[in-house]
Amino acid sequence: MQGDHADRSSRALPSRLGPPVSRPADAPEVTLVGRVALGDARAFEALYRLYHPRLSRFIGLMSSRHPVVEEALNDTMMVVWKRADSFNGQCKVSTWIFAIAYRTALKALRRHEAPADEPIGEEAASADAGPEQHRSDGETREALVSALGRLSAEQRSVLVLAFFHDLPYAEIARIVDCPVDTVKTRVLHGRRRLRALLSGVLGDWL
Amino acid sequence: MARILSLEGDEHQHAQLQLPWYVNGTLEVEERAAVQAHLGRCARCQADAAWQFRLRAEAGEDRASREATPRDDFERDWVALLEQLDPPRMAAAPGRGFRARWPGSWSRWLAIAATAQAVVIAALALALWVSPSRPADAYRALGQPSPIVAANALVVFHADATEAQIRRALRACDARIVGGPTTTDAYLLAVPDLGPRTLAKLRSEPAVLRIESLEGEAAR
Repeated sequence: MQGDHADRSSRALPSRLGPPVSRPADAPEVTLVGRVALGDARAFEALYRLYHPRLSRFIGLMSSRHPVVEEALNDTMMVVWKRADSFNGQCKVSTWIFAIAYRTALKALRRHEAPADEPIGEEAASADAGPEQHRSDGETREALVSALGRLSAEQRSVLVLAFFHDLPYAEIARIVDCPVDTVKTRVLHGRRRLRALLSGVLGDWL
Repeated sequence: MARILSLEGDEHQHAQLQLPWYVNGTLEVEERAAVQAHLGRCARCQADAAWQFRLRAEAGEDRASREATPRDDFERDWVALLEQLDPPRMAAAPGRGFRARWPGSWSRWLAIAATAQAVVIAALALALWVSPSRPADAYRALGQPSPIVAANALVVFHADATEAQIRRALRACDARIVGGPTTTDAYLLAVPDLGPRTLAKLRSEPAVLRIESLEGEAAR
């Protein structure tokens, strides 16, 4: 790492960054990544500041354990810092960074947590099943996050990206490195299981 | 293992698979129209869509709740990340890069570097002043020549501080910039009567991110 700085600063912008796919809205972030690739610490801080809220949210929903979230968040930005020169402009910067976050989150989960519960049948009630109760908004949110935590990491991640980050299915597919059909099927099964987990706690939302 | 379902054929199954993106508004126009047409004919998908709209609304509430997270979380995470990276290179970040926890080794290094810089500046100024080759008529000062002033404080301004804010901060304590910017975007100040009260006053200025006394008083 010590020798990186001299090497990076003497390099011109890597030619393989090339002209990105035409996405004018992404141009500022592409420029930032290009500067990070040259060892520009200010650009890196700007990128970190830009992405910290979103990554905190995504990784925070992937795991409820703060040490896991902190580790995955740091590891993600470390990869961005070290591998900025690998960004080839063929996708949005956000897709690239979220893909890194997805992989580091999975790794952190494997290192720190037991595997998620085996999927239960859709007809099975949740462990918290009971009479319908009126719950506050905060309790509803807690129940939702808790139920998400009971899905597999793969299902949880695509549901979070679709519903919490409003990403198109094509982008989610790139982030999780799966075909679009796989993403759609995971979301379908994931949301059905989620609904089953929530039915005893929240009653029917309809 | 999830079963991969084919998208061909079954209109209902197709709509079921597309619903999340109908709900989050990212379907293409034709896709959206197709789902909407099916929703008009399928009560089950209508119910499913309503549930997912509620799910997304709850997700939005969660986002609002998380966005209320104090800034300190960012500062803490940023400093933790900095400590894992190459410190001398990251020191090239602007003043905002130096947050609540200023590693002790960096603080001492910065104070030493700033003091050395101040000494060099003062020495150069002195050399110019005593130079015998100063032509009498080449330059005429409009006022009294300023005494040589050594720097006694090191300040880092916010990256987005305006010139008016910086000027106001300096005038508030009759401070003057006598050196800088350094490689870490710090400036050397000469501040009359630099004491705890003056330091506190400068710290309270919107333009000032961080200030350290070079006279030995601990900074924030």
